[in-house]
Amino acid sequence: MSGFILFTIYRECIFYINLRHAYLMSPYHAKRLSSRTVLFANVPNRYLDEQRIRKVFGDTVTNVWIPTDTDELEKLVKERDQTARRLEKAEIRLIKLANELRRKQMAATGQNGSVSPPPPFPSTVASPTSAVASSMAEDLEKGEGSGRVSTSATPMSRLPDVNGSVAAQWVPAEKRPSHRPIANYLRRVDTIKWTRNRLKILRPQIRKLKRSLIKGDGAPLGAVFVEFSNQADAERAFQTVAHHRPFHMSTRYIGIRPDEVVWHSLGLGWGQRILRRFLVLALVTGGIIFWSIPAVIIGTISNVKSIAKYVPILFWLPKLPGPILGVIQGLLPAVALTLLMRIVPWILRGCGRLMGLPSLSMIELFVQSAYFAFQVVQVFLVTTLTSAASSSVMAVIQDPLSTKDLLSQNLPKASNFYISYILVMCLAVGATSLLHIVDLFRHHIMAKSMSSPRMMFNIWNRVKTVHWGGLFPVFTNLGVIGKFPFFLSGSGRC
Amino acid sequence: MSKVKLPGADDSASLMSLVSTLVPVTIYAVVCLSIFWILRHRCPRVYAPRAILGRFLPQERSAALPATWFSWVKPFFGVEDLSILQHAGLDAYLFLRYLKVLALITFVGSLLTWPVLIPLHKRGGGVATQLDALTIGNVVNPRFYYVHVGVAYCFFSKSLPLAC
Repeated sequence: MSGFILFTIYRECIFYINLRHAYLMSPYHAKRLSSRTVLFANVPNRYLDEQRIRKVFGDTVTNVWIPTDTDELEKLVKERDQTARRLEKAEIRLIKLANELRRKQMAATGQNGSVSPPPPFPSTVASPTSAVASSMAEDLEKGEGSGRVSTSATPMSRLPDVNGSVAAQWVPAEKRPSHRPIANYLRRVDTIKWTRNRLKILRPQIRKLKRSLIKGDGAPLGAVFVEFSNQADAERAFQTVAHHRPFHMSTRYIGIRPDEVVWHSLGLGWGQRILRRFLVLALVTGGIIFWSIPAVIIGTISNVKSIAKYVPILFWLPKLPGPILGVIQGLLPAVALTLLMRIVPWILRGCGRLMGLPSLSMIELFVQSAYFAFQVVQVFLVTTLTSAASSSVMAVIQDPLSTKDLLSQNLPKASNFYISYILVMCLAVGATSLLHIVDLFRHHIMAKSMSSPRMMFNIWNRVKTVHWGGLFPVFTNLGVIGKFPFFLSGSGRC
Repeated sequence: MSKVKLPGADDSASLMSLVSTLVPVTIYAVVCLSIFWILRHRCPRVYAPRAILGRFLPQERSAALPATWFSWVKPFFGVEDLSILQHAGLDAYLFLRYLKVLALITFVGSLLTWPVLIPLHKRGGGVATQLDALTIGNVVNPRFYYVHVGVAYCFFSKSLPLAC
């Protein structure tokens, strides 16, 4: 039985290595484009050339992609997408509004749609919504010209066969969806017309920019994707030194899927990469230190009864009935600690992005290791020490030399807090994640109130990604708590 | 080793805080579980997205569990880890395996340590009460600590890396 932990860990290591090899070499994985493609970052300008790259890596190279700086294009595409979404939303709103008004009108005339109602608005009502929009739209908008709508004298229950906006039959111009763009000095415009015009301007710009980028006019980013004909060659290129100078082409990655590339960090030079890494690690270290302030408060709460005697404001605490005191000392700090640690992975993910890691999986990996440091320091070390220290702070002040003995006597008591913490983790957090309360809300309450089909489709179809980086360290830390207090409390006495 | 009378030695709230954590947390967990049990087969998009969603490739889909009240439990626990590896990927499989290994280590650890150390702590001669009496802080005689060292060696053991 001896050495049980080490035996298990070694066995798992060997198992993991074998499993990883089997997975990487399985045809399903080996034949994928991503596992045959190597990404080199920090490529010197001389090598940002397809011919030269082919010369370096030999005949097995099938494709070379050199990403270029596409900031401007991205900005335009983003604006186009936003405009298109806005147009879509406005159209849906208009359709719904028109349909509602039409049904109201049909109900008002008393006929259930079989006999034609009179035209709701005379043609003069369907006037331009605003001077700006109409003057811009005059000749561009053949399909949407509200001024040209010929409200036919024979309206009917089915949709009238008219040129222009059918909705104008029921929706007066001032009720059409509108907004106030900053570019128009916050004056009101008809959303549909405005966005259509904007799209008409944006599309040729994007097309032009795209064409010039494809031709090779853009500034290259200093990174190269090299596709090889098989996985073995890709691995060979990945595992050999590609450039004689240090840091050049040394940052390389294999198996990155296009949808997880963080494009803006591809262009970073090696100097900047080192600098950013240093800064982010400093930031994380500082974060760990300063995050301990709330953790200290929580640790103190978990043993608040002991210090209540010395703090006059807390005179009421020992007088509380047992169960309430128990909630304050047991449940409250455990829940607070769980919630406090929930925020950290999101901050760390931002840090990983800042650091210039080129793929989302790598960011998760960074989050995992940094978050584990957070967990161990905050949940384990700081809370243990403060929980122990707070219960003996007065005795230490009276007799500072007894600190060692006091701590050794009080440190083990912190285990009470961890019983609470593990209970909360296992029962409350486990039950909550089984319940999927956010998903329930998303699919059964939010989806019901969605107006746009696109949003409904997204809610139905989009699957939330699992952020492993925030998941593993929590359980690793539980393992640490489960095993090491035993050690710590033993060494505290020696 | 000087024995200092601790301020909070005889009025520990440890048992109370354990109970008053356990009770609300258990109630909460039971409520969550029963909501889950009721809604499980009514909300397949929430609880079985991999079985119904068209965006997953055929090899990524997992087989749907029976949409009944109780008969899904047995097939659920019968799901092989290997089928999770095939349908949900390496990450999910290794995560499950990781949890299992952790549970195994802690379980064996408690089997090793509890029968030896808890009676030792309880009779350690300290003045602590309630749960505090079960911790190492309750042991007065320093010679008892050799037992801890022995148990720690059994549990962690320095000999294995040398053997490897």
